[in-house]
Amino acid sequence: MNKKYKCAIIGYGYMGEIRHKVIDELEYAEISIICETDPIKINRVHDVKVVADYVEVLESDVDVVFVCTPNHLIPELTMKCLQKGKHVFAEKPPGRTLDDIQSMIDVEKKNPASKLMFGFNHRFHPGMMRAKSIVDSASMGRIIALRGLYGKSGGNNFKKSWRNDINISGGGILLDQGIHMLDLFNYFLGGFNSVKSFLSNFQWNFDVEDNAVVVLKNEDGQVAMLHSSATFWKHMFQLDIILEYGYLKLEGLLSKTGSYGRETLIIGRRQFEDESEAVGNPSEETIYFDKDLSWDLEIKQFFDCIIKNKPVIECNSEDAYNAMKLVELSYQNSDFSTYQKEKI
Amino acid sequence: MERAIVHNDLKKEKIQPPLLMEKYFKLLKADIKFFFQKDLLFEVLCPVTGEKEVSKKFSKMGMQYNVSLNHANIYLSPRPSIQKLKEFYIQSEARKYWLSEIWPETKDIRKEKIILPQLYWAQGFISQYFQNQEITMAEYYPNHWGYKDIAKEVFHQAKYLLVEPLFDPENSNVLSNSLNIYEKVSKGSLDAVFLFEALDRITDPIELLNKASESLKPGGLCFITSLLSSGFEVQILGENSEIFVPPERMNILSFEGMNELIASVGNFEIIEYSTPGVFDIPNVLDSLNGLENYSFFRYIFNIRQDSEIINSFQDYLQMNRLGTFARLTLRKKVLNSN
Repeated sequence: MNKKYKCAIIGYGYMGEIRHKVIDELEYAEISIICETDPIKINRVHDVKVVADYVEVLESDVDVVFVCTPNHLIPELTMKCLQKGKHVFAEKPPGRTLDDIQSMIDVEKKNPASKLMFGFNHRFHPGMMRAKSIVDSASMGRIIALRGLYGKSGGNNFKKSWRNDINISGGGILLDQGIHMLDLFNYFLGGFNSVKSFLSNFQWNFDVEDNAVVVLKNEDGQVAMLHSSATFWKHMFQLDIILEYGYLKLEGLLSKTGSYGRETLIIGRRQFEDESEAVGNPSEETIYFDKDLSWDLEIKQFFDCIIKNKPVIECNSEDAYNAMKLVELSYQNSDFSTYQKEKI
Repeated sequence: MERAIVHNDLKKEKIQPPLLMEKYFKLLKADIKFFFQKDLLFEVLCPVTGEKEVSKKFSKMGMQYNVSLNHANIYLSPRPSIQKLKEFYIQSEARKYWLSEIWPETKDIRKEKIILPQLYWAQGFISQYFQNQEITMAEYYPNHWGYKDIAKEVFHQAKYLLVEPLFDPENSNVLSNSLNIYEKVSKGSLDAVFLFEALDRITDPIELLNKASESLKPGGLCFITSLLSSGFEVQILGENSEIFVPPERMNILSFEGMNELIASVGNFEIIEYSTPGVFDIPNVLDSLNGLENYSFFRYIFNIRQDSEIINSFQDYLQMNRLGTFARLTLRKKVLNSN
């Protein structure tokens, strides 16, 4: 492996910085251009060429582009990079609408030499990987149901954040954060054909939802439920996987600040067949994880596809489309979408 | 490095029925006298640090334990050669009694509470790290066939080998030709290795871990269970702890000693290091009244008698890797990987 891949980052916010750190650790890749216009963010860049116009990235000799911009810019930038023969890693959500991701897929198909991956890094969290491996081993039987809670409390600039401007973000907490959980639902159950939802902006009265409750069911009768919220008043991540012979409970997420709590996986095995004798409190095993390799693993997997010219299997455009489809159906099936359309 | 807290309602008397154990220990004492005569034993240095200095010595069933100055590893010295140890495991009346009486009597509860949970523990990692489940795994120095026999219920597509078993296959209750017994395995041929208390019972733990490492493919997994001298029970009860049963407990390393053992082999990454045992408090409770200077524990365990305190204390020990029973998952490093 002699080639060193030249990379660019468009958008040097929170995610851009994370991607930069990960790439700096790789022997086979380096950041050669960063595209950013905000002087405060530019000040955080050292020893890398900074440009203000993304066209300079398109015209450069970089092999790989990381699109880390707000949602409304992701589709156009991704498509232009693909058309220029660049490999693209784009943050989630994949644009603002299902049409956005469909447009990106259309361009991807016309440029098959370029790899395209999306940043659904939750699949690579250590607790999630262990849970998936336990589910895949079939030792606890088939999944009956999934239950997810994912939410946060607004920060200092919450009211001014672009995430709450529907023209930039395309949606609220469901599109911003809940999409991760919907992607995980798809990851574990492979898709849904029925989606019911309630969305509300009860607390903040923004143009975008601050709470979303989504209930899903697939053709096999497996069900899932998500509460995505910007008003939990604490950062919270929880995914319960209910199986035939027990349950898995993922709580907390390893993160830079640790604000989602310790990442744990609780494994409980069903003990009783006869409900009348059930104590309902089986012995549990709780695994504590202390190293978040999710950012590294997803980027390494992306480069592995580039280097070995393999198709992107995980977090590819199809996964992004499927997650986006659940978001879109959730918006369509709630009266909140009409309210939003009137605001745009 | 991961750690786990395990809640398990396992009771010691269920896996070690007192009447059967009484007879077992009686036979064991006689066997030790017969098989391990003093002139056939060898003085050894600490099997991990190689140091000569000891902080303490004590005797159990006629054999001597040393406590190393650094790390407080506890080890039998003098000890038998590996050949003599194998002779003991195959021929001793105590081991025959354990396999013919205690194992059948306790098999079901051991299967449900110990063996299956440990195999499921390994399965979680194996399923994560290997796409193909048709893997080859080996258990080194098993002193019974229970794990091998039950593993087929968990690892349907895997090949499970026994390497240098410390029991006579002809006396097992499974067909000996189905045991897949090997004297040694070729280098780089295994996906997973099990050392179920094997480091505790073997004469040279560094040699064993090196063997395990050599036999694994890059990225292969090594699952270890072991007792630790740094655990609560040993720290409180000292030599009065019932875990000191020679020769089965040949090496009882501390938390730090285990780390040094793994570091000495050099090519393993520790993925999980937990002390998920549940016997520390019950074992200490059994002996607490005979101890001086432990009024605090007598108060919280005997006077308060609050199950919440006991449970949370056990959780505390597990959470902070202060329990006596340990489990570890190691992964053989893959060279030149990013």
